[in-house]
Amino acid sequence: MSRWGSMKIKVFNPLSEKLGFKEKEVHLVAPIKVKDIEVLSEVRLEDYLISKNKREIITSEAEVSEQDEIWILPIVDGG
Amino acid sequence: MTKLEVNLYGYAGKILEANLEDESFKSTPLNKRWVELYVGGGGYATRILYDLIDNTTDPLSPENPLIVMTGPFTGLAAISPKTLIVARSPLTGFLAKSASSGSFGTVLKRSGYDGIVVKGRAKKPVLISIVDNEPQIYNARSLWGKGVFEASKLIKEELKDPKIRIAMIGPAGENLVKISSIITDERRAFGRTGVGAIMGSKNLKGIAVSGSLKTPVSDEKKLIELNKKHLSVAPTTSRGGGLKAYGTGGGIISGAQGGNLPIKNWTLGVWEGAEKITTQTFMEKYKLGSGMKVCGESVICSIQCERAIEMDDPRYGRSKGKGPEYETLAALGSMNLVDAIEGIIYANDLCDDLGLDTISTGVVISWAMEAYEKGVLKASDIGFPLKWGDVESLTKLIRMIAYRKGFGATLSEGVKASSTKIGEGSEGFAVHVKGLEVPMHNPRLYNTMGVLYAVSNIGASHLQGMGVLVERGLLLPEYGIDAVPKDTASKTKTVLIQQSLCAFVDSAGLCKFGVFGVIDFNHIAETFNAITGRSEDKDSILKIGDRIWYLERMLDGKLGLKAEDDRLPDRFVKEAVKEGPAAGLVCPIDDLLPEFYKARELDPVSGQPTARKLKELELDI
Repeated sequence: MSRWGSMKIKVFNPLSEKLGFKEKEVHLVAPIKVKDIEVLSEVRLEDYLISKNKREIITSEAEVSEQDEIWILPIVDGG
Repeated sequence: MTKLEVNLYGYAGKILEANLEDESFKSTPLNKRWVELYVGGGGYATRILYDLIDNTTDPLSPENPLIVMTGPFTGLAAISPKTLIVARSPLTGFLAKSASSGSFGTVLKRSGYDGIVVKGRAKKPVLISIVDNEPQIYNARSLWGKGVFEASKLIKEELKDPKIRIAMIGPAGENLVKISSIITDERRAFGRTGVGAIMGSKNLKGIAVSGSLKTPVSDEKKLIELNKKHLSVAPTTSRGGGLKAYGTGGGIISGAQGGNLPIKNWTLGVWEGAEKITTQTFMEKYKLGSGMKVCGESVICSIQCERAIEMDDPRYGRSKGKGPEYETLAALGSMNLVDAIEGIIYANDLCDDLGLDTISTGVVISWAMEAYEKGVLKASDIGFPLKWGDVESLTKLIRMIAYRKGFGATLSEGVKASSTKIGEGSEGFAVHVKGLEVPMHNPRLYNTMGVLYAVSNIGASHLQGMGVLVERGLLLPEYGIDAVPKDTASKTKTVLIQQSLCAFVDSAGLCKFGVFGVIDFNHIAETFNAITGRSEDKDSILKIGDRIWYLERMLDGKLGLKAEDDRLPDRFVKEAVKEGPAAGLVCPIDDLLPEFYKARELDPVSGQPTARKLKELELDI
């Protein structure tokens, strides 16, 4: 495994418009809490669903590491 | 509660009673005391119904009234297009209640009436029309048998009024299919609890309304100011902005990744097909114009959650208009492992045109698929083999249900009756509460939904309490819910507050998508006061919601409901999925239900409230 890894972040509208990207690779040297990821520092993460590797919903306190993929999703479930 | 000098600001002020037996009409002023206690919409309509039926009333007889009712917010406040239909359900035997968005309610009020009570049964197919206070009955024989899309066009041509708004049934309602709906604006639906069959039993094809009458409000300047605030805030919130970007169907992705999405009749926890059927995918392919649309042309809304699409597919033909919602994508899609989005769009069109509830239809077909897979049903029972994921099986069954053809006649009775008839253990995977098919939110993961389904006064409905939103982090700090509920006490509190707020919202005419996670109930109370001249606050509107919830419960008691009817299907209580975010989880309903009963002061056998509670809420009817 490479010492320098990268994690993919995918965001959706309306957040993607606010942040100016839909997908971004973030380079990590160690596991990091989602809330400490710099490109998400302006986001009120509790208003969104954070999905890790398309299999798990995590909180902003959870740690992610290289080769993870997180999706920041709006809470739109309804009927 | 404020003692009102009720002047009926926010209301047209009267209800139309239509008796189809002798084709007569009667205009009745609103009961001011009932307005004070039950507001309008679902609450007011349930109060009317309470006096008109009992446990001997056959839901498909002339004695079961079909009550259509708007609320004071309908058409006046931001994001408030809702109209309610209330009756006794032919599917459950209990309260039938279903809400529709679109323009119908707004235009009904402009026609001069807050609601319509339809009684009796016409001797031949008819259509009721109301134009500026003037009701009429038309012969609808030439419309009978026609799908909603064609019949709607013909009515607009015949009445020479393109602005007319219609609530009507398709062939499914005419054929008394118990999972049939009433469709408005061609694409919105009073979907649930079999209300289409009630309209069909009255030989009533539809109700058409048109008008230009203005509803008076107490403080117009204040209302404009509050509406502006609501409209500007809504799209900036995560939920409102998400709905604006993707509609409810955007929830397929988060549902799949978060464990909310039902897959293969709730037996799987992971499905690769989800990304193929989500709104994000189908809007890339079939977006019409900007893709965003309000649910009706008269509706004041800045979210615009409707997705407009245009598809021309060699297999399924042309589709133009409203794309499928989350519930439909899940019920017709993931529940049946259908990952062909074009097939789902086509099946959704069929359900709208034939007048079928997409949730109940998807669930009963999913049950049939599982019964076939387990050998309980044979190809000879159905007429052809069933295959998970097969669009042809799905759409053939939809037609058979609507026309009660072959095995479709069994399925047309709903999943409870179908499984009771077929037996052989198939009752164990018939996913319903009180006979109403369970919608698309996972109670194993979101336990408040388990309680809300189990104790709902209409059977399993995701709109009698949106606990899933709270459990996902859209809190209600104004009511002391400032953290995601984790223990039994906080889950019970969430259930109670959600039930009562939804009962109020359904009575006011608000859309739930414009409230929860979008704006707080202090704002809603202020808007209520600006419209009506009342002096309510967030706590008093919660109490009104409480009262309406208990009124529904009392009506259900009159119709034979017992505590044992408040149950959750074994599939959620005893069976867990093996993979995904909900792996290994079941809903601890046996821990949660007693707490709910205690908090609501319900008798553990009758399921009815104590005399003390009824007196407290002025429900000593």
